[in-house]
Amino acid sequence: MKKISLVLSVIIVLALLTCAASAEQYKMENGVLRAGEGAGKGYKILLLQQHRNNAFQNGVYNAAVAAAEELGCDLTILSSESDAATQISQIEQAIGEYDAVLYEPVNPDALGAVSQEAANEGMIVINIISACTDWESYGIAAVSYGDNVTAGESEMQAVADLLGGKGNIAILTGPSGDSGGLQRLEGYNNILANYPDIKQVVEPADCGWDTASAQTTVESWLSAYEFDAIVAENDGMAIGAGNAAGPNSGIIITGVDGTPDGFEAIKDGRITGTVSQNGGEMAANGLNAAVLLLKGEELETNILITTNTWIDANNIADFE
Amino acid sequence: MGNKRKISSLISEYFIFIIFIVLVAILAIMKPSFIGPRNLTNIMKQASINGILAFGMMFVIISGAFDMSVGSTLAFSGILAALLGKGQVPLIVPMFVAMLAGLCVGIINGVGIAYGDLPPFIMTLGTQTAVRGLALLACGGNPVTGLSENYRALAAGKILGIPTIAVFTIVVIIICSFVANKTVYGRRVYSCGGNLQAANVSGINTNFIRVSTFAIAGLLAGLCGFLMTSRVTIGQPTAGESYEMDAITACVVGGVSMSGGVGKPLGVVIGTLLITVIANGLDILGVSAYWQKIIKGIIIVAAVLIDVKRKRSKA
Repeated sequence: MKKISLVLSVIIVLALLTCAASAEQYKMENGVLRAGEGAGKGYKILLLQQHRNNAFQNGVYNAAVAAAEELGCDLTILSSESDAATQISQIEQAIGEYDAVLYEPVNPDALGAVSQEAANEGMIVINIISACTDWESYGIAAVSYGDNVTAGESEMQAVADLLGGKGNIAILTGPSGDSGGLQRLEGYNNILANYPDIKQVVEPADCGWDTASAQTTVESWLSAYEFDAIVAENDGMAIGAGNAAGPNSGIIITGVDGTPDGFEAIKDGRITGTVSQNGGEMAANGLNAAVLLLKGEELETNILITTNTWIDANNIADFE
Repeated sequence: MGNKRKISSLISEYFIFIIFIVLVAILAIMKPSFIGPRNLTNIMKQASINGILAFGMMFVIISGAFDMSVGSTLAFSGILAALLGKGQVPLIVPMFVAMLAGLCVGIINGVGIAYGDLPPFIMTLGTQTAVRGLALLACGGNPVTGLSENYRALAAGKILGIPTIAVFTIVVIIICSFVANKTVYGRRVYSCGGNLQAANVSGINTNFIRVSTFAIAGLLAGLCGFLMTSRVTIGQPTAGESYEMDAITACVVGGVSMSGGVGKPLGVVIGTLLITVIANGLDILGVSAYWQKIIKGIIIVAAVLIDVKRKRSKA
């Protein structure tokens, strides 16, 4: 009798576990979501990049192509040339032609209406890399991005650790008013609030993601100020700061992105490290989510967040 | 008495120079390190690229047009230089190829405008867009890394204590000033801009002059691409965006008239230095990014306004 009840309870527990497992089948593991090989056969999907002018966007492109090959879906990739009106037209034209559209919004507030229109026509709409404001209310099924605030926090935390919680720093930002840049800055400030002995000697400088502009600003600064660290919102500007300071300057110089030119600068000692923003993974996760939703599966969560990692001379070999 | 009049006419001619000196004095008082040797080197380096672009632009504006494509040309030639600058060939080759590429873009601009009768704005806006595309195409959108050691060292190095990149600029300034002031060609550029029809009637091959000014601007933009790649140590397809605006501003602030026919090389030097010093000074003072834009805009308009008013009251 006891044996039977033991066997029964084991069976019940196993059954429960199986049920639980099947309900959680499609969840992210270590920031990665996969629908399985060939799962996307027969689906036509459109992916709109904000632009394709830098290494980060090329990473997005290559990863999307690789993910589509694995899924077996028919993927078209277009660039919206950083113009919201172009992106709206591209989405309008995709309605009825494609089963799903993935896009990186050029402007978080401009694409709600057209997303709603596409969703109403039965398309799966997914935001990648960044999300529209109130995206859920416009029928957008899922978002796949890295958290810019977290990226900023990771970077500034690494700087604070390297400084031992004390020192003079300067910040280089993207174009004034850029939402990604503002979020990274928010991350910086979250960390700086814990370190009263880390002081910003100058106001954050707007270097518009540009290497040459950052190089000029930091050259000027270095003739008048002493810094222990220079914190840049992307790798390009960190390289500019590294060029101005010279290799192994003793100044901690950091960026965000993890692009090939950033890696080169880490290896030759011009910059200290970077926080990877895995744009490729964001696109791949978005594509897999689209296929799963098209097949009528359920996602554990429709907010897919990729992890970011601190990369410096010690672990750079793992990322190249 | 005659001397006095000469001095006062010189002052009104180069009033922008006085504005420049006053600005430098103010910045030096507010932050003494501004005129330290290290920062003077910075100013030379930072003025170099825009200085070369501005001298190319000077010929185009004096001839009565302007060139919106030099920023894209800089990027495209910079990418070509980077692709060839990995140590596989002597450094002179990427420099030559970059300048040749710039020259080609310039000639296309000039032919479209002089022979095709296209408005300069349309023609050079077209090449601005298309050449930016070529830059992206040439490198597949990725920054070009892995430059050779001596290419990287070029812009960072010094000759007799002067940054090498500034030596290039000084040579360009000397040649261009000579051409503009002392040659028949230079005078013909001025007459084309002053009155194109009159120049034509008086037997000047105005089409050739107009094509050649764009060719000079393109050639110098190509040289800037070569130097820019060395300065930032990577070839970037997005480099030089809106640099044409800085070059035009340097010319106009320096007294080159947008309606053509008027302008002096020394004015362009001062215009370039003024723009550089504003940006450099505001960085050194640690002024916030938002205020920098506002202050830069006001100083540019005010400098030209004072200059124009003085010239008018003298006339």
